[in-house]
Formats: sequence, structure tokens, C-alpha cells
Amino acid sequence: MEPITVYPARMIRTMEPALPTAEAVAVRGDKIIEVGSLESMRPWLDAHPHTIDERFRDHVIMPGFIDPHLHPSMAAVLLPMHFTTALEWHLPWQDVPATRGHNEFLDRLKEIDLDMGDPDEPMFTWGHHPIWHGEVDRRTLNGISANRPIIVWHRGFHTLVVNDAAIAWMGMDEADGERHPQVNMAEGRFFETGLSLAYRYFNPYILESKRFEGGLERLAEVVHFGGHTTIGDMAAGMFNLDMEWDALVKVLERDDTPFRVQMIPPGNALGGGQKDGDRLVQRTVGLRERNTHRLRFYDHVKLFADGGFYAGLMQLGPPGAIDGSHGEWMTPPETFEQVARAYWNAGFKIHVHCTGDMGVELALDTLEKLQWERPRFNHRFTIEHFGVSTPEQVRRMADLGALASVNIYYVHELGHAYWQNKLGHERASQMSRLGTLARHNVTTALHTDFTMAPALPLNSAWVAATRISEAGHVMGPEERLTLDQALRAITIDAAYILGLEHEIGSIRGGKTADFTILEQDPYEVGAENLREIPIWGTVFEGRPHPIKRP
Amino acid sequence: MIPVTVIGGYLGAGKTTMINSLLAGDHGLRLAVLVNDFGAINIDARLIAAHDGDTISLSNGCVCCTIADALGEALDKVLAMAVPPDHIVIEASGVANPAKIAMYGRGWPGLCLDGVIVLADGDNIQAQAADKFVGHTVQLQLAAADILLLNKTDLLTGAQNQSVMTWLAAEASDSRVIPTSFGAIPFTILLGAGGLPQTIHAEPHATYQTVVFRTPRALDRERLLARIASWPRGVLRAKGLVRLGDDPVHAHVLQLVGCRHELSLGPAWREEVPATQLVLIGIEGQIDSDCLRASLLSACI
Ligand SMILES: [Zn+2]
Repeated sequence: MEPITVYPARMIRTMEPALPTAEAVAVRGDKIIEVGSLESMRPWLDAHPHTIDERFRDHVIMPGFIDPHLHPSMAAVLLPMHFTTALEWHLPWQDVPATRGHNEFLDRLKEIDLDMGDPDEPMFTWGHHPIWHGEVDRRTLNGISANRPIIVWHRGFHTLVVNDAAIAWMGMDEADGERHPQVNMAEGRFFETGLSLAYRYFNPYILESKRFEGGLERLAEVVHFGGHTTIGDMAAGMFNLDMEWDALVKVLERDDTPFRVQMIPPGNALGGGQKDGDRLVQRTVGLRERNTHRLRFYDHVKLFADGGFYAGLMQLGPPGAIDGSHGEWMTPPETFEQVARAYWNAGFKIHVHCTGDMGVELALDTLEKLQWERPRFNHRFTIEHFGVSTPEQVRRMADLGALASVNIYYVHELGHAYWQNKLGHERASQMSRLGTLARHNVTTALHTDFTMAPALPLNSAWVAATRISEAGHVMGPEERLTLDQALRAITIDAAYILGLEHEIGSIRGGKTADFTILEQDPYEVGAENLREIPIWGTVFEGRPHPIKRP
Repeated sequence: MIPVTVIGGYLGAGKTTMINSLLAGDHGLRLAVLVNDFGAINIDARLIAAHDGDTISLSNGCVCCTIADALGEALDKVLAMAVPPDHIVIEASGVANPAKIAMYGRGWPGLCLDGVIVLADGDNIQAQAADKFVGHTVQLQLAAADILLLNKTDLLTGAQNQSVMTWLAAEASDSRVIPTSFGAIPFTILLGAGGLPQTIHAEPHATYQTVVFRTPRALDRERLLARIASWPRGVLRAKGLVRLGDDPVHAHVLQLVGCRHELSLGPAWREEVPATQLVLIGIEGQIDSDCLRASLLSACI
């Protein structure tokens, strides 16, 4: 048997209420043997060969961080692009500064152009938003470069703008663009259904396997950089399951990958075509045959209610949106119910993408019906995102046994904008209402939906505990989590959402030895400073993985 | 350019029944029908020539393909077929706005929009349009229709039928509303093709009538458009070549689908003797062939 390794630390935050702090943790192979002090674990050490590893003597050990909802494939497409966002992004290879104002945006494009070696390589940028950057068009981009194809992608993916060189590179007939009612050729702008005309030319390039695998390599760096040891791919196979799966196995199922991925497949095609429940369940169950050590399908499935939150397509109940706009449904309610019933009766744990309060309402109406037809305990029906909701819905969630996995970054990035343009202050300040969830004892995780928010769990916990918007306001102080609640939401409570709480999420004997190693103690620095805490690296299944500094 | 017809409407409106009848129908067209899911499509096994995952080929020359979240890709696949289809039909999902799907007909290379047909379940449409979840979605669907088929009218009494027709006329003020059962509607109305001058009978509610108009005289563009705008709602389709006074070189193509019409530049006349030749199809009793011909004649120069 392998010898035991003991890691003494300045502080161990176990996230176990029965023993919240400790001084040392003993690990054998991939499992924790005991957490406590060198004295308390003496019987183990006397009985078995062991070594004392002092490397974390000045560090703080926490359970490995968990983000139960992000999108590796989406990230693989986006991470090879250049970020031009209005908010700063910390990436392992680069600190992207906030770009504000029209001129700053253009300067940023010029800077990227200069930094790129190959003068013909297309420049894909992501992060443009008219609120912060003003409008750009084909002529503006021609001014940046006459030769390099430039593609400016909107933060929320709803428009893209290209220059002359990009149109030439795409090989697109100008006349085709001029004919399309949702392409403005003079401005080089593609929007709504016009976007698919652009994807027709881009997809072979951005989904090309070498580039996609390169993007996944970057995603792996990002995940480690944030201090994660477990993530959930909350729509596994969003482009093409076979293509994605091959790339994921190739890039992530490696000895040096310091995290695991729970694969949660969509329960049916978007748009809600399929309704044949038994066939869908069978197909989803069959995915488990693919499982490898790090990449695993379980009995979890993802369903979709209403549209995207960044795109403003959430379904709002009264009083609706300030601008009178309406959301979209991703699945017809009847189909949603039919498909949910099939998975419910097959014992699945159902995760539902809900962004607006009407989306939540649909999910809860359905859950209530299913509970009536066939009661289940410990069913882990989870509302994902939870942008706009009502307090009564939270109470109903508690009554029905539903859980929440919340994108808290909405409050930071969109809190001010949605106050001004979409929801008004009352509802915008109560987006992602974590405080109410906590008051009703609804188990809650934080997620980033990366690339919708930076994949940095301490940053998510910081927003959850402070609710500070990018404009500097505290949005809805009553909906803040306590520091402890916020940290539970990126560790043990996130493990619960993934159904893995018996294996990961806290530090206690018998669990998997997944740790995040911090340079400071979150409980000492307090909520306001959470996002500044430097991360040394992680321990994944008993093996230390320091974050490489450039 | 291959014409595209979009079939929209909420769940249960009868889209699938209509698509099944299009696939098996005796219309002489090679259709490509794009659907969200094969699940409900019911094709006689004897008609299936090949089935390769996301495409079913029929022995009558039609194909049925799944959209699988990527309509553009599905259209490109159809356009790349060895023999491209004569006409493409796209089934909009139950929560889609058909007007949005129609953008593909207007903008995708190689395609042109024929029309948007929206089906409504006569028995449930009013409840659906007031539903707390999908009410607004259903209202958008109705508003997107060039031609609105009020389906399942066999389940309604005469008075119910009348009341829902009145309600729809207000809800979808521009589109032409046709009562029907089992989606039974002539292919000429659905697809606007093969419009031969005959009276077509369709059970049980509406009977259709075809009007043919020919003249060697040139028409005045403005006057023609004004006349069309004044036609009764019973005119469902019109198609043909027009000789316009302001363009002696080219024929112009008039296409009318329900509430929408357009007059676009057609081929040059060359050796052909310039003449206007139009076929109109409408609901019998709601159109008068003499009046329509007179209306067109009055647009002549
Ligand atoms: Zn997501």
C-alpha cells in the first residue's frame, strides 16, 4: 500500500460544520485518510508508513472548487479569440484590461492587430458591446486594417461586424449579403438569422479540429487557474457530441489534467422537437458507456425553459420589460412537461435552464405536477441560472424540494444595465436572489456558465457576498450570502448539485483528496477581498498541481 | 432560386398531418421538407427509398430532413443534393416565430420566400393565445401568417366557427383566413405551384376557384399595385408575368401569397411577344372572376 502523505497547513477550511478548521490532512493515494492535527491523526501514522509534506505549511487548504455549470465546448471556440470586453478578465496567459469607450475600443483593436504576427491571420475578437463601446461598422474596421480579416463579435453573441478583408477571406458573395434582410452589407453587420449566414463561412475555421483542441487546451488552463477540481459540462454535445467527445477525451483525459468533468447532456434537441420520452431516456442512459476516468455521464440531464439572459430573451412575468420586449421559449411547455416526465419517471436528476420568472414558473408548475403523479424524495431537480425570480417562487422551490444553481455574475455585469434599460431597479437589484434562497434553506451552488462569466469561483463568491455591480453600486444587499454560505456554494453545496457530495466538496476522511490551495484565508480577508486571494494551485486526487506562472 | 414555404403554428395545430400529406401527395413536385423531428412523421414504408440518419428519401422524389438546431446547415445539405428540389418546406418549431424562419427564405443564398402558412387549432387557439406561458408566442405566430389555416373546424359548431373566425380576423388582421379540417387544403394554395386553371374542390368547408387573366396590353405599375391592394381577402394566391408600361424590355413577376404580394424584375422578353398572363386562386363565393378581371383591365394603359 502507498505511504500516507500528511500536509500540515497554516489553516484548513474543511467546509464540514462538524470540524470546520484543521491543521493537517492525511492523504493516501487519491483519498483523504483523516483531517485534524498531527497529534489527532497519530494512530493512523503510527500504524502505517507516512511522510510529512511541508509544502503547504504557509498555505490555506480548502476543498477543491466546483463549478457545476460551464461550457467547455463554447469556451474552446471562444478562447482562441481576442477579448475586448468592457469588464476585465483574468486569464491564465493574460490579464485583459477593461476596455471602455469608443476610442479605447478602437485602440484595443489596433493593439491586437500589431501584436499578431502573421498579417493574414483573421482577427476574431469577442466582447464588443454598444453600451460601452459605441457602434462599429465595416468602415471603422477597414480603418484598423485593410488587409487583415477582422471579425468583431458581440459580448452576448447577437451581432457580428466584419471588414472588407474579412468578407474577401470568407469568400462570400456581396450580393448574398445585400439580399439578406438581417445582414447590413454596407455596415458589414450580421444579426439574428443573418448570423447563420456568417457562421456558414466561419464554422469550418473556428470548429476545425486543431483549433478546437487548442481551445480546449486553453479551457483546461482556465479551469485549473480558477482553482477548480470538478466542473459540470451543462449541455454536453452542444455543437456535435461525437466531435466534442473525441476532442474532450483527447485533450482532457490525460494524466496531468487536474480536474474531472461531469457531462450533463441536453435531454432533447433545442426548439423542443423530440417528444418520444422513452427513446430520449434510452439514448441518454446509453451515453454512460462512453465514461472514462475524468469524463463521466451520470443520471443527470439538462432541459431548457426560456431564452438567454445576456441576450435579454428571458420570459418575464408582470410587469414585463421597460422596453416592451418579450422573451422566447426554448422548448414548448407541453413538450417540456412530456420530456421532463420521462426523465423524472426514469429517476433522473433534472437541471432546468430558467432565466426569467416565467421560465422558473414553468419549471415549478411541471415539478409540482410530477410530484403529484409520482412523488420522489431526494430528486435534486435544479433551477439553473435563476436570473429573475419572485420570493414566492423560492418558497415554492423549498416546498417542492428543488435546488438552485445560480449565475451570480448577472448582478455584477448586468445589474446596472438591466436597472436602466430592462427591469428597473427593484427587479434588477434582486436578480439571482441568493439571500432568499438561503433564508428558505434551498441548497444553492454558484456557477459561471463560462464563457458567460469568468470561471473564477472566488470571484463568483465575491459577487454573491457583496453584490457589487460593475458600476459600483451594491445591488439588493438583502440578497447577499454570508461569506460562509458563498464558500459553501462553490464547494460542498456545488457538489450536492452534481450529486457528488459523498465524494467531493469538503475535507473529511474517506473523501477524494481534491484541494484548492490558497495564499490567504478567505475567512480572514473577508467578503470584500475574496476575489483578490492568490491561488497556489490544486491537489487533484491526491496529486499537487501548482498553477504555472508566466 | 428555389421557393421556400414556411409552415408554422403552435403544438397540436396540425403541422405534422399537413407535412405527412405533402410528402405523400400527388403534386408532381420534388419537395424537400425540413422538420424538427422524424418522430411524428409517418411515411409509408413502401415509399421510403433510403434513410441515412438525418435524411429520408422517398421514391416519389421528395426528401425529408431533420433540422437538428442548425437550419442553415440543413438548407445547405438540401441545396447540395445531386438534383436539387423544386420547392423547400420548412416546419417551424412549435415555439418559433415563423417570421424569423421566413428570413432564411428571404436571405439564404439560392432560396426565395414563397410564403408563410400558419395553422391554428380551431378548438384551442383562443385559449392558447391567452395562455400565461405561450400567449405572446402564439400571437406572434398568427401575426406572421400570409395565409392562416383555421384547422380542426370539424370539431366546431357553426356558431363557434363563426366566433373564432371573427376573433382571428381581428387578431391577424392582414392574413387570409381559411377554415379547414385535417389540414386538407389544395397543394396549389400551400405551395403556389402547378396552378392550372381549374376549379379545385376541397372538403369540407372551402371551395376554391381559379381565375386566369391574359392581355397583350401593358399595365401601369402604380395602378396595378393599387388594384391588388383593393382585392377581396378571398384571393389567396396570384402568380404570373406582367408586361409593365415602364419597362418594355423585361417581364415582371407578380407573386401574391395571402396578405403579401411583390412585383419583381423577371426575364427579358426577347423573341417572346410581351403579354400579361396571371393565374389567381381564391375562395369561391368570396371572389368574383369578372370583377377581378375588370380590376386588372382597369390597370392597363
Ligand atoms: Zn449554460
